Amino acid sequence: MLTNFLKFLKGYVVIRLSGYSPERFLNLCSRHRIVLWGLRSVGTEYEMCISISGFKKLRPLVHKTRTKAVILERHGLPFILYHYQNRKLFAGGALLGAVLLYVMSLFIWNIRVEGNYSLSDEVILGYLESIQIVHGMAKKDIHGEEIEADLREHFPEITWTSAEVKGTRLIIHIQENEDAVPKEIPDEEPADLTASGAGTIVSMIVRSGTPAISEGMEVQKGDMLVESRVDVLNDAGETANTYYVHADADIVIRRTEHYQSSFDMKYMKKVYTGETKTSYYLILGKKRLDIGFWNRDSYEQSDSIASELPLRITENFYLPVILGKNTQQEYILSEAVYAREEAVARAKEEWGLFFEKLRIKGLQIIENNVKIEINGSVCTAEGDYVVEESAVQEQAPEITVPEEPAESVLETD
Amino acid sequence: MKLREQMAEKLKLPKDLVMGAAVLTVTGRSEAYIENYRGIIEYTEQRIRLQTKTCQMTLCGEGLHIDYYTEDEMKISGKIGEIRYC
Repeated sequence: MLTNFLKFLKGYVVIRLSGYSPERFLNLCSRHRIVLWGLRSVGTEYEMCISISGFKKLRPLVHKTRTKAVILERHGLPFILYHYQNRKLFAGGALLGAVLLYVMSLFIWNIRVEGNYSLSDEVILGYLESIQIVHGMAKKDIHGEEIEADLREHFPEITWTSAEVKGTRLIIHIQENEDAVPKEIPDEEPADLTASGAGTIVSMIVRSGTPAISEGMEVQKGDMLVESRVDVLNDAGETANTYYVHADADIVIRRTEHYQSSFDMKYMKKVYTGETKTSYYLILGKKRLDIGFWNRDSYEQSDSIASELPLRITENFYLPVILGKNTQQEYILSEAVYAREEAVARAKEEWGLFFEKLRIKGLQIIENNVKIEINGSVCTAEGDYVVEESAVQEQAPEITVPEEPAESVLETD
Repeated sequence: MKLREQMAEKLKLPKDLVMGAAVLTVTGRSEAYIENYRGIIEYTEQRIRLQTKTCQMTLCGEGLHIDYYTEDEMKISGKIGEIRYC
């Protein structure tokens, strides 16, 4: 394999030898260290392969042995190069292509954000644009550590970030703080717990602090639930000492709420005519070019579905070219009336979504008395539902400094 | 010649070096490597005659073909029928 490659690189020719004494010629070749291979005897003549350098030394030998060597085939790189010698534009084109590829690879063509959950890609990309991190910027202007520091400073919910340049892509890895409600008061500072909503206390487990309410009591939003102030009483039942803690408790509040939702039984229905128009477009950087001018005029009412295909060379090498296809489906709006089953299904779907949202917020639904009624042209879903939730919020306490310091009391004793 | 052979025997030197003897390595009946030869006397598809330092060597067969041919070594392939020294 390797010898074959070397032979190709140096080039060789196939020659046919005829004449008076071919054997003598072969012996002279070996004496002059000219390598021959692929020797074949064809009738009275011989065919063999010989390297180009060997062939150049053949003239005196051929003369001496009175033989004749004819070149039959030429193989190898030197002959290919010679063949393309005069095609300067071809070589120039190849070189230009390579240079273009290299120059293009000096820029960032794609910015990708990974690991973001509550922050959307657009928000982060928008911020990056404001600090001059944009598509098409030079790769050398990207300083990962600066981007990371800026992102952490601008978005406090980002706990960790890493900017990575891979090919022509900038990948921003983000880790967000998963606690939805950030604690405003650090654990070591005193804090009261107050109600974040109205309702009846169903259960309470207090781990630290002084409870201000008991189970079964009604509370309003903002009412004190657990105080941070803890009094230490002496034997006489008087306050001997006071200190403040960071109150901590699990308190479940139950409350009844009202649900009402209604919609008209009449609605506008989309009737698709089956007419569709497809147009293609090309996005080059920030410019959009429409291909095909023949069907510019759009329908009066239509849905349009666009699908885009960003062009890329490798997984990480995106080109600033996007091919897009836009399909418009014409429809006519016509009035329609819900059938009873359809109306019930729609109402159920609406309230299912509503309760699902509550569940995601951490509310537990205990009772659900929502009923669906169809009254003339209106469908109404109405009723009470009971929810339980853990409803506490922290609040900085008002610390009252005791008139007499506790230590001095102890001293007088 | 005798002396050289005895010396090689005693000193345990390789005989191809001391005596200039040809070395023939045959694989099956289709391949033969030959080292230490002087040159080719005759080459046809049926017969290859080589000159070595001490004698001539003839390989007979069918479709004999020299794969490569250098000063020190050659490789012959084909259907070898007979190897003869004279």
